[in-house]
Amino acid sequence: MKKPIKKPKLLILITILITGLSLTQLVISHSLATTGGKMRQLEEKASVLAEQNRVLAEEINQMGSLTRVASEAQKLGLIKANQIFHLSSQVPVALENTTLSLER
Amino acid sequence: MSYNWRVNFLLTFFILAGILVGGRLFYWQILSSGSLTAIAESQHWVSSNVSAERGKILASDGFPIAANQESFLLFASLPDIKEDAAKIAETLAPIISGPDSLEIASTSALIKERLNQSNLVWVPLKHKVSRQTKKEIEDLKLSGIGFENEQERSYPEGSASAQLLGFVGSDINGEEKGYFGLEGYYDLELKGHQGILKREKDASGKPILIGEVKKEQEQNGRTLVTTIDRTIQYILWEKLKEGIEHYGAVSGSVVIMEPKTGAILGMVSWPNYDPKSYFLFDKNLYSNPVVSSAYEPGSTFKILIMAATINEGLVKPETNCDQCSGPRVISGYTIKTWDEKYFPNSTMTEIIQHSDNVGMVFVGEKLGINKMVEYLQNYGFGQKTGIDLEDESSLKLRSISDWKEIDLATSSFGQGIAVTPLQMVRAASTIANGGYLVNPFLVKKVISDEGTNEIIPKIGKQILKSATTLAVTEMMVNAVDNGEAKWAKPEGYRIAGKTGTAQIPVAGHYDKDKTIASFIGFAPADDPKFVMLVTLREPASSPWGAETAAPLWFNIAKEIFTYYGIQPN
Repeated sequence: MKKPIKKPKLLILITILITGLSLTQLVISHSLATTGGKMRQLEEKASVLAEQNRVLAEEINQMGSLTRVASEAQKLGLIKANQIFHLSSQVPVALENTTLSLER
Repeated sequence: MSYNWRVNFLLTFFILAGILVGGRLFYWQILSSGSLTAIAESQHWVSSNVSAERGKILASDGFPIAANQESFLLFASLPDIKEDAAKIAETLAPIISGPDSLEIASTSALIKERLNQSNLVWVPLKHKVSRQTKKEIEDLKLSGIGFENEQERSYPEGSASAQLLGFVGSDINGEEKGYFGLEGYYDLELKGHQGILKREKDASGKPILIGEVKKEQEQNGRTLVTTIDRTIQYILWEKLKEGIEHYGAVSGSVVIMEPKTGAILGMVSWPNYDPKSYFLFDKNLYSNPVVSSAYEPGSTFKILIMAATINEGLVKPETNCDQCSGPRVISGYTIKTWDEKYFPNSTMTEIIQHSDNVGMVFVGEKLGINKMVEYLQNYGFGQKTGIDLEDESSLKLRSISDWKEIDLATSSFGQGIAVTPLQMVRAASTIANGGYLVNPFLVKKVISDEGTNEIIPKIGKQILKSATTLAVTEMMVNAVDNGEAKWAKPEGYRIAGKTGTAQIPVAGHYDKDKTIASFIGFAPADDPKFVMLVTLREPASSPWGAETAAPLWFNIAKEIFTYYGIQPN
């Protein structure tokens, strides 16, 4: 009577380990490959946003220029004040001895 | 025997083979290491230049007066070109060049020549292409034609501050470089350093996430915050243009400074140029006349000589001139008053009021050559003011041994001596600020990634006594209230000022018809907020400063009073 052959446990363990690690490597490689692509997409998006930011800054500079503001004001019919009245910090004589009371 | 032969043969063979292998290794490792490293780097790394942004130049309110604008480099990748070079050139030329047919033809020829270069794979076709032009070209969908990002300098306020700012051009290596004005003076601070980003790549050229990254950090240029008040600069610009047109002057300039600190609030000149397209203008317009053009100041100089003489205790405002009854003859030259009217026994105050040349000869003689030269040096004449502008220049003062009696006489009323407008403003500010010589400056803060560096104004030594400055201020107020320009003075304000009309030297003599009209003054006289000089070259409507430069000065001052909220007395 033949003795039954025992499956070597170590061999099975090694096979499982190799298969498991191979699969893990495959998953990680795949994930890294797609992440690299995603990273490039994000970088492109960041560069588009930076460009938009620059365009908006340029627009602000153009719109805020005093030369432009003056010309737009002129187009809207605004004119320069020719007569300027200065308000004195002194109390007018007519008000000097007057007391104001509030009635209910 | 045969054994020895075989051993020797093998030994020789191995030695030769060793030498060959060693030689080859030496070739790869030492001689070709540079090129092989470069090849390995290009296969292993993806690298890109990270351009540094040129620093902005800001007005005192933080609004940019020089900024950056995105532009593009149009290029061709020759292996990807599919259409005929001539056809591409004919399509692109009208879009990227001006409307002139000759320019279109030359641009077309240039593009064609570049596209036909068989030894290259990449050729630039046009720098500084605008976003709009880029879109127009992209819509044509030409294969092999692409764009790279670039930066271009922009000046939101246009040419109003052209000579003050300077412009950005290219150096001999094609790198950006600032010329003239602030762009030239602060070029090193403004331009920064380009960075490099290197990242490990995979076979398809995509960056590896966990790969190595090498970064040489770019360093953006520093931002300059100036003392320029944008509103004042705009007022000066508008008023100077109006004034030059109204008085028919050939050119003119206005400079305004805080007398107590030396901070420049505004500085404009006409004619000027567009700093963005500087190459289309005459090169003579590039330098700033306020700091580089010397002129004879004429009667505006009298206040400085009078202040020096009073400061030395040689005259007082009420001292009478005993030589003012008629023309004076000095070294064979006859010196007259500008209107040939004479005022015997006039006081020093009246000499300034009447702008009396003969009276000033009397004052100059009291001062003497030695003291005259000493005070001119103290006022800062004959040396640069040290302002942070690239184009500043200064004429040297003649040495004491070269001064003659006639030089003393003419210098006392501002002829025969050349100064720049800024030197004149700096000297006059000593009267406005209690006698201190200030150093004019434009940049008050430098902002970089490391932080902000504030520039503290340097106040120089006191060259006039406080009492002297008060006395001369009163003389100048009297000259404005009762002098030739009183008709133009804004009502209710105490303004200290002096007109000037200097003849222009042409080929060794003075041209009677050509003058430089000017007005220098400060206000409010009792607590000056600004000192300002207006100069007009060859005004056609009248040669006199009192009828041209003075009314323009008062016009500008009125606007500044309103802007600053300065009320009349």
